[in-house]
Amino acid sequence: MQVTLRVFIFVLGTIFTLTVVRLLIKKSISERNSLLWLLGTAVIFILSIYPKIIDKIAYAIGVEYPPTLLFLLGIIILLFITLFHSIQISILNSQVKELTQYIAINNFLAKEFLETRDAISNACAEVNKDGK
Amino acid sequence: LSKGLIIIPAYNEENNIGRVIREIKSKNVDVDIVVIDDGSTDRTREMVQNEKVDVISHVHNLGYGAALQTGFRYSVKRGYKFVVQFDGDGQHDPDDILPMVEELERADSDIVIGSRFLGKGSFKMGILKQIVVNFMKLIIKISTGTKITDPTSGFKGLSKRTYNYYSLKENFPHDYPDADILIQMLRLKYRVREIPVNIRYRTQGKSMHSGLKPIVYLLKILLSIMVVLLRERLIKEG
Repeated sequence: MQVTLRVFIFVLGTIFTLTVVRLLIKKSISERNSLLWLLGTAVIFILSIYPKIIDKIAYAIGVEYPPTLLFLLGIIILLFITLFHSIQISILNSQVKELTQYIAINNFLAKEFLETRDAISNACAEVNKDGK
Repeated sequence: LSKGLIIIPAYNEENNIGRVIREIKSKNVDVDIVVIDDGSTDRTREMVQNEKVDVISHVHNLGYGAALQTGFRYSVKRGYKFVVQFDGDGQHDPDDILPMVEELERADSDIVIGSRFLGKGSFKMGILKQIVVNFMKLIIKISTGTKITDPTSGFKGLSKRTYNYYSLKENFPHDYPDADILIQMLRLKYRVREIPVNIRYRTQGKSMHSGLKPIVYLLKILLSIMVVLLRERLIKEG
């Protein structure tokens, strides 16, 4: 791998790491979610410093053209991250549904309670007035 | 407080809901009514309030099943003996409420389905929907041994035991509860019965099963049925 390409990959990794750290500082991403992406940047750094690793792994598992292994690994990792996010979205959807139903029912019951309380207060006021 | 509650889920039904409520009230059946306004962006809520009927509003749209579940959860708090699901689009006939209530009061059924195919009136549906419904009937028959004539009917009556079960978090889908839920309940030995009902055609608005939706719907239901059967097997093994 040419030195310029290695520098390019390294710079790319640095930009990506800084972006994730910035998002973390701004609280735009949770620590738990950022771990996956930081793991990704670690892989980019390792490959930019030791590009031969890919060749060695490819050779070991019988991949004839090493760059395809890189693509395969990239796709598999992204697939897992997407699945992880789908799970999280499903959980959040379920929680939003629960909350919405809870708010709807309790709003209704609170309104009903206030109306009943007002009606009782008015009735008491009427009785007191008549008593006097 | 009456013994039963009619739950009407409604989403943007300002043109139908007032008439539906007036028609139900005109039948003088001893049941309470609650409308679940599923985040409507029109005047649905206002129309219900004009009719002096209770309305519970979602802050945003959740889906037909979730709206029903809100009704079940409200019923749990109130302790109704039974509930009746009734659509807010005017397709269900209020004349069928009394037979449904009588069936539920007999207390020998957990789920009473208002079937459009048991001889009362004539109900026509598109070929695509017919295929979907027949396919569901077949799957129900194979997986439970029970013949259900109308698995997609939205007009149902539920005993306290049933709506208590449905009110629990993951026991009811947020979109369209149909054959999957029916299979689940039949396999859990809940008693299901059908009574003949009449169906009317929509005068306003658009059906939720129009166009190509039945195909997507069928795929979703097939997946849900598979999940129900697999889950049951896993629970047994676990």
